[in-house]
Amino acid sequence: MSERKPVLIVVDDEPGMLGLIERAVQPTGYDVELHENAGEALSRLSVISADVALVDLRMPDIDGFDVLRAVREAQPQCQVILMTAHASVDSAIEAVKLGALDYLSKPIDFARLRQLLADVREEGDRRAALMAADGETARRLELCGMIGRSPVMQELFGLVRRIAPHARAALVTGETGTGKEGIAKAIHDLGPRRSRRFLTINCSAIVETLFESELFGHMRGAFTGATDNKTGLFEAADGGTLFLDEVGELPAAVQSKLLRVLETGEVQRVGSLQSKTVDVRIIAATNRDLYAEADAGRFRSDLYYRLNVIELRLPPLRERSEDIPYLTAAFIREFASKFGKPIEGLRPEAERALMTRAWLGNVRELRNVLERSCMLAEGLVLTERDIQAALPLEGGVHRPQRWPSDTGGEDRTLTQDLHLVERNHIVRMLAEAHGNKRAAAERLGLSRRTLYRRLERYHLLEDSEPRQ
Amino acid sequence: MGDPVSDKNEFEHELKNFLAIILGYADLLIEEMPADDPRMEDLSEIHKAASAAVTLLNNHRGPTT
Repeated sequence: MSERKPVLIVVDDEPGMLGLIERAVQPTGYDVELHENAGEALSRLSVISADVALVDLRMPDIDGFDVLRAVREAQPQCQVILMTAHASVDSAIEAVKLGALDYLSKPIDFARLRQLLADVREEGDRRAALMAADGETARRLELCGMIGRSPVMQELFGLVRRIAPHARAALVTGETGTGKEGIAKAIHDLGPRRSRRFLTINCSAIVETLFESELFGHMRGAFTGATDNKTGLFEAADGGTLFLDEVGELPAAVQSKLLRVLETGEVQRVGSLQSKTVDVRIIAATNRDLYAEADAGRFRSDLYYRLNVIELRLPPLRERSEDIPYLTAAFIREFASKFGKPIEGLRPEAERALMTRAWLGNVRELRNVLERSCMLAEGLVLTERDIQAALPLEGGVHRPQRWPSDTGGEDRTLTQDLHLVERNHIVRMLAEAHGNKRAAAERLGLSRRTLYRRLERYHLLEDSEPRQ
Repeated sequence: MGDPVSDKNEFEHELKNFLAIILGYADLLIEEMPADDPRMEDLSEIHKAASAAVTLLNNHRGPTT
């Protein structure tokens, strides 16, 4: 679905007709521009791009056919519908020959007109989707920088756009790395508070004793170390949005205080007797199943219901793998320009490697892998080797422990790099042999014993061994 | 101007344009109005009369070529 509203230009010398058509097509969702003067309409077409032009055939200063020709010339993608109070077979044929979409006689059959407009709109959407073969078009399917061409993401983006103007609270759920903060930011940016502050607090990163002071502020002398008055996040975000990341990690005591603020709209600084009214939109995010947490008594269920006015569920990347090529194109573009390298894309087998991975770290992991690939790559096109060298660990069948030298890609030594290549190669061969070590050893040209030694060295053994 | 045939055509054309506006608005109102609205009957009369006028005009000119 295109984000832009389609545009309809109506040209008729009779103002009463213009007003009528404007009202009649209102339900179709087009932006309508009315022109009594055809010349004026044509000069507008050099400024704006229209999807449909509805043109009266008989006007005092200009012939509708001339307008039709001029529009087809200026904007070939713009469909033209002619209308006339004096329908004739001749003019109908002429209209079709000149490329008009349809020819309507007055009085106008509104049902037919609306159907035509809906068809054009649908066709436009379909074409946009077809053209989405490169990163350029992927950009049009974005939501505040997030790419999601898959139906599940388009649905989510639609939901975000619909709720952004209204929602007072929302809960964003999804696995780690799926982009929960991006969604929260989009809700903020698309809502009426976009010019106000968007503040983030990561609930898992704060010491329990400091929570209250962070969220609600404190007065000087409220506790040891409180040498000054401090504004809490709620006050700082007044009129804006507060994003509570990892809300499932909130200590129980803070949960009840947060609930009270949400219920009353009032905050009290630690050590203060006075409360202040604040107007803050709360967006919470969690990678836990908060409902189950509430059910098990680990999360206050009344707070859960207060936060979960609407739930936005981000799917894991493996459930929308059709987005991977578009995400990949966007990330390569980003990092190619960041590192000043002329990288243009990736080889098909490299893309295949990206498509088939489980991506337990989701979009964030994909982004990291491509960042490292672009950093290490030497050619114009990323090869499978570039990708494999940047892959941290093979997900799925083999999920070994972290490999010590796999962190911090930049300062690895050559030996470490070679080890990484060797390890990934072994993992791949094992995966191809469906975990059969004898077969994998044969393919690798190693004895079984040597393979076992390698597996041990790369910590690939303990996870897969006991289960087989 | 001087040509009586084209003058008559022009007149019919203009007339039909206005009838189309009357009919169009009547259509929209009928569409938007609840079916049991007491004004529906009046509206139908407007619609009927305007339609009849359009038919009259069309027949008067003979079948369109």
